[in-house]
Amino acid sequence: MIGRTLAIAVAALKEALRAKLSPLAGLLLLLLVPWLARLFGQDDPDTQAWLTRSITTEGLRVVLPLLAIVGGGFLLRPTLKRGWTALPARRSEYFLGVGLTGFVVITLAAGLFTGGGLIANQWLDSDLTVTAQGEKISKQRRLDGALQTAPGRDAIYTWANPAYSEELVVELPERETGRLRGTIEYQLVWTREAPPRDRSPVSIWIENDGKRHELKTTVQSRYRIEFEGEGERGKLVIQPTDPVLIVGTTPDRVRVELSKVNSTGSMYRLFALSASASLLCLALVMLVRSLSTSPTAVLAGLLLLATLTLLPTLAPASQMAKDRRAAVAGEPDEEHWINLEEKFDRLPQLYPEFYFDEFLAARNVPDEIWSEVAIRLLAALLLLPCGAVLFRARQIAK
Amino acid sequence: MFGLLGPNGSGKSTTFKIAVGLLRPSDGRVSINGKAPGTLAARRATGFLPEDSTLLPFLSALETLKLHGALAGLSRTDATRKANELLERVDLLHAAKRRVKGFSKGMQRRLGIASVLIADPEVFILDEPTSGLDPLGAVLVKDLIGELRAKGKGILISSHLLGELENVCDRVAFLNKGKLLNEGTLEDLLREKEVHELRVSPPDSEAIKALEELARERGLKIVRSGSPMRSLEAFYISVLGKKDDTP
Repeated sequence: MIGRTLAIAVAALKEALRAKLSPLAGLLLLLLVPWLARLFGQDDPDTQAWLTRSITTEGLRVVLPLLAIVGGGFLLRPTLKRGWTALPARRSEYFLGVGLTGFVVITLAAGLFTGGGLIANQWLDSDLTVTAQGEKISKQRRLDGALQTAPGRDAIYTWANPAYSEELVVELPERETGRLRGTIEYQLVWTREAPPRDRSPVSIWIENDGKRHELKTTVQSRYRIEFEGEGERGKLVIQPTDPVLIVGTTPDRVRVELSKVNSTGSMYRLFALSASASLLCLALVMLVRSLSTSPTAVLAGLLLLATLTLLPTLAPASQMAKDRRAAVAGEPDEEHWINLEEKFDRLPQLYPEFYFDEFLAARNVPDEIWSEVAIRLLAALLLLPCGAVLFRARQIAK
Repeated sequence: MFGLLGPNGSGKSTTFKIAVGLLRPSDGRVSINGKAPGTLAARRATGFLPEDSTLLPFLSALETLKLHGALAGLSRTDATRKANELLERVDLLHAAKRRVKGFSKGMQRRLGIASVLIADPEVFILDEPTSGLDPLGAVLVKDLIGELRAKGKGILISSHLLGELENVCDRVAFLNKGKLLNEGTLEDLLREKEVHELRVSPPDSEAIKALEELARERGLKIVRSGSPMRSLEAFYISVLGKKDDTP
C-alpha cells in the first residue's frame, strides 16, 4: 500500500512540477515580495520595511490558505478521465497519494514565498524586521518619567525640547549581547527661530551608573536614525542637538535588536504556521471533495465558510463590526438569532491573529507557535485517511 | 473473448465500469474470476482500458509504464524491464523518453494498452481499444489482442467497428438503451444459412460460366458473381507496410 501510494504521489508531483507554468509561478513566488517592496517602497527604508512585513504576512495569512482551498477543489479527480491511472491501485491509495502531493506543493509554495520575504530583508535592509519590545519600553518610560515632558504611551509622542535641556530616555530591554544596535524613528517640530543646522537632529547615548558614552549613528532617512555601539545595560538617551528642532517619538518607534530576535526566525515560524494551516484547509477541501463530484459546489461552500469563520479578518462578524452594532443598537437580546455571528466568532480560528500582528509591528513571533503548528498539522494528517475511506466508498463519476 | 456491440448510449461503457467496480449495479450480479468487482482480488485480476484513456501528460512513456508497473506490485527492475519490452511491442520504443503530452492520439492509445498489459492480468476489459488508431495501429492492437486470446486470457471488448469484432470474438452481445437485445456465438448470429458463397482462383471465365450454368440447371438463384473487392484497410496495409509509424 505504501509503495503504491508513494508511486502515485511521485507521479503526481512530477506532473505538477513539469507543468508549463510551474517554473514561472515558482519564480514569481520567490521574487514577489522583494519586487513589490522595491517597486512601491522606492528608496524609503520605512516603507520598504512595512511593505516587506505586510506583503509577507498577508500572503501567508490570507492568500496561501485561499489558494489551498481552491487548489484542493481541483486536485482530486474522481472522474474516470484522470482518475483511471490509479485503477490498478485502490482508490484510497489514489486519494492519499494525491493528497501527499498537494501537501508537498503547498509547502513548496509557502517556502518560496517566505524565501522571498527573507530575500527582501537581506536585499533591502537587514534590519527591516528587527524587533523591539514596545510594551516593556513604554512601561519603563512611565517609571523613568523624570526627564519626560509627557507620559509615555504607545500612540502618543513624547517630546524633548533642547531649549530646556530635555532628553528622551528609554530603558533598554534585557539582552544577551553587549553589542547594542537598533533604530529610532522620530518626528520634528521646527521652532522657526533659525534654520536647522545638521542633518541629524539627535545624538544617541547610553547611560550606565551615571556615566554616558555616545553611540555611533547613521541617518537612514529624514525621520529615522540607526545607532550602534557597546553597552550591556543601562538607559538609552536621545538627546536633541539642534536648538531649533524639538524631537518626539513613541516607544513603538524605538527598536532595539535583541540577540535572540531576528527576522529570519520569525519568518520561519510564520511559514510553519501558515503552511500547516493551509495543509489543514487542503485536507478539509479534499475530504468534502471526496463526497462531491462538482468542484465548484465544494469551492463555493468552503469559500463561504472560510470567509465567515476561518479568516476572521474578512468576516462580517469581526469584533469591529460587533462593537459598531452594539454602539448603535445597544446590547442584543441573548436569544435573538443575530447572536449567530457571535457563535461564529467562537469557532476556532485558522490562525491566532496575535502572531501576525506581532510580526507586522516589527516584533518577534514567539517560540510557542510550534504547538499551534503541530495541532494544525496533526488535524490535516488525520483528515486525509478519513477522506480516503469516503473516497473509497463512493462511486466514480460517469 | 466476448464482444459488446451497440450504439452510443447503449450502456457498453457503463457495463464495463460496473465490471471493474467503479459503479454499482442497480440490479443483477457481476463477478470477475468468481470475485466481486472492486475487491482487491478482482482488481488484481483485471486490466481495464477505458474509452477515453487520458494519460498523465507530463510523464514520459517509460515513466507511465513504470508507474503502472509499481501499481501492479512489480519491483523497480522488473517494471523497467517489462516497460521497455512493452514499448517495443507497441512500437513506441523510439518515443520512450518523450512526454505523453506530445503523443498523437494513436500513440497514446497504444501506450494505454501497454499500461494495461504490464500488470499481466487474467481478464482484459477493453473499451473501444482501436478508437483513434490509424489502420496500422489498429492492426497492431488487433495482433496484441489475438496474442492475449491465444494465451487463454479472458477478454471483454467493445467497438463501434463491427468488422473488428467479427474477426476476433467468440461471442457477442447487442445492447441498446441498457437492454440486452441478442447474444450468442458469431456462428449462430451471423451465418446466412439460405446463401452459399464459393470463391475460386484463378478467375477462369470459362470455368465460372460452366459453374453458373450448372447452378441454374439445378434451380439455384445466383445472387452475386464477380471478382470480390479488397477492403480499404487491407489495401492501406499493403501500400504503407507494417513498419511505417505515423505519429
